[in-house]
Amino acid sequence: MFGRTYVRESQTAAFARFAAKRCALAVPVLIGVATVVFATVALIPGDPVTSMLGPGATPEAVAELTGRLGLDRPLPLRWWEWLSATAQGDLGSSIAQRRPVGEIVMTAFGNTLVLAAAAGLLVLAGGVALGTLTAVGRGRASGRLSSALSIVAISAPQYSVALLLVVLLGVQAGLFPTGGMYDAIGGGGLGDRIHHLALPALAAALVPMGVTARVYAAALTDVLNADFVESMRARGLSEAAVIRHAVRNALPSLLTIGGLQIAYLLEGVVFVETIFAWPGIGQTLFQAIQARDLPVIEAGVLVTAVAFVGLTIAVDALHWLLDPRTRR
Amino acid sequence: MSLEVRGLTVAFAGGVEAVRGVDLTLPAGGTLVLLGESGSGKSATARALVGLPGRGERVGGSVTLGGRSLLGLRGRELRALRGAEIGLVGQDPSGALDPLRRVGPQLEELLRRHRVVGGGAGGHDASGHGASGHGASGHGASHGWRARARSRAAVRARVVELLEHVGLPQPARVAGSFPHQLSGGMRQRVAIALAVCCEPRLLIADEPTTALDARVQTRVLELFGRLRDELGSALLLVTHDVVAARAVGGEVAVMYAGRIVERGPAARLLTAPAHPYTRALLAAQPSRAIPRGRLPAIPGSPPPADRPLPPGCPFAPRCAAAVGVCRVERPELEPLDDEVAAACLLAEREVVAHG
Repeated sequence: MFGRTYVRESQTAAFARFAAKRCALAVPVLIGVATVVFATVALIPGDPVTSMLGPGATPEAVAELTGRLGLDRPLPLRWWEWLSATAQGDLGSSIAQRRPVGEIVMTAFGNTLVLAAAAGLLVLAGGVALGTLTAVGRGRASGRLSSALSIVAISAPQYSVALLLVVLLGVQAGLFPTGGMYDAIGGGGLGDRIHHLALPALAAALVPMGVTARVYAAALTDVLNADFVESMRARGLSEAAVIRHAVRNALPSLLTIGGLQIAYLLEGVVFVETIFAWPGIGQTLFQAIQARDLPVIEAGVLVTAVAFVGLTIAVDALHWLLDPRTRR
Repeated sequence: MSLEVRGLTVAFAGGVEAVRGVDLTLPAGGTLVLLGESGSGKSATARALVGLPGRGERVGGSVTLGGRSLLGLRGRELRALRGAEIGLVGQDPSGALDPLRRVGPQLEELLRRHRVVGGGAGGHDASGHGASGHGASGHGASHGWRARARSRAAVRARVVELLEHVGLPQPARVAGSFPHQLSGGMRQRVAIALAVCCEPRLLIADEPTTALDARVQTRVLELFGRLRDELGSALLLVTHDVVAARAVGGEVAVMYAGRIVERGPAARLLTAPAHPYTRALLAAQPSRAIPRGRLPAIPGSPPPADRPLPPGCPFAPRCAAAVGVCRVERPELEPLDDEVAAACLLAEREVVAHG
């Protein structure tokens, strides 16, 4: 009598199979990404030797440095060496900075994650709030207002919004710092971090937040018009309970679009990081490209791609857990 | 607890009516079949009874259940009534359930909501009728986790019992399944379990078998009859299907263009109807006698609900028997004898002539 009376098929094994398959599929994707990254970097004009030695270098010096960096060997060989070293976690060392690439990229990527997480929170919170208001307030002033707000957010390009924020709130109002991660003197506390995060996170979050709000509003509207919602009302469930069911049913859509938008954030922060002098992967890549620092470019793009793929897998796994209909 | 409907109207924003003055009487434990083709206003009638009119529809007239007026109810009162005293089964079984939750918890939620078992006081007694047996009384001393666990177990046991009662094999497995893992017929049985779990006084089934295949249809209709008898609820079946109406029996009210055009016991009405529309409906049933060729159908289509009715009998344009007066004078529902009433000038004349 006590305990469970329902018979439920265990889903653990099915989930493990699903996760294993998804991860296995990610391997060729990552190799492909790595190859494209390598090829792109090899094909872009300009080479590290010229940028290190300057235009006045003697041909002998150029040849010597090219040989030392291994840049004179055939491309496929360099590709294979780079790929196998990368697979073992050895990202090589930076040409321009003479530090291990892993160290540079990981530090920068950690900073980017902080920014992306803050922006991601804004995307989800703002997207859900605006989306819910739009869906629930459809046909009323509140719905139209929130719908208009999300369109404004979508239409605001990151670089101009970032500059506007810097000029208005940073320079003129003096409310927020205009760059960096923390104050040079006496900074580094949590409050100081958040103070520095506010503007870049907001600038990075606006567009994906608007997209998320619109997609979530559409999903929630669909669910609220679904037959089962009326069936629940016909059974006398409270409006709060009905909304709870509806929101739960709109969650998979939110997850799909939110996950994708946050993944894009990881790449979209290049502008924002450059404008706000945020020492993240975007800024690092920007500088590495200027210096033709090939290993850093390759590793930076690769790390971002890995994060993207990882996030996609996480979203798929959550989707699997949230929506039983997707389980095969 | 009888259902009394007087002068029910369902009007659209422009003042045009989908339901144009419907009177129904359904005694406790009785059966009423609302029969009509699509667009006759039968579903609008059913939705109006549970206070769920479509968007932009206004409901007029009076509806009482056990002497209590339903149409004035709002918010909390209305929600307490829905599900608990009126159970509704819809046409599409996949639209009855939250697709992301297992069947069991959805039933539990409703049982808790209407306080039939498990926690809270003030609900009506769950045991007593044939549908419930042991383990149905959940509110005893409700303090401490032990009591809560007992209450939870009682609710779950009740859920399994309910699913078994609506004829689902392996009810414990059904309770642990998601809706998409069940067949259409099984889902409709779950929807029925949801409708009857609080032992409603009135069970409304709006085209409950339309989405099911023929073999399952018969079984589901049998289930409605059985539940009505066991729970002592009144059963209102809304259907376009004469076969379904025959299977359930009881009283039949035939709807056309938002009005009742004929009313009487199923046995008489579905064998020897007085109204030409009922006759046409019966003639339009496909039968095994004509295996090939065109399916019989009533020529023309019902008058649109979004425009006012033209003068005269609304069925006259499609009626083979119509005479001049039918296009001028609108017939009212008049008793032909002590069982049958019809809204047809010709039927009245016939009675006068033969009686």
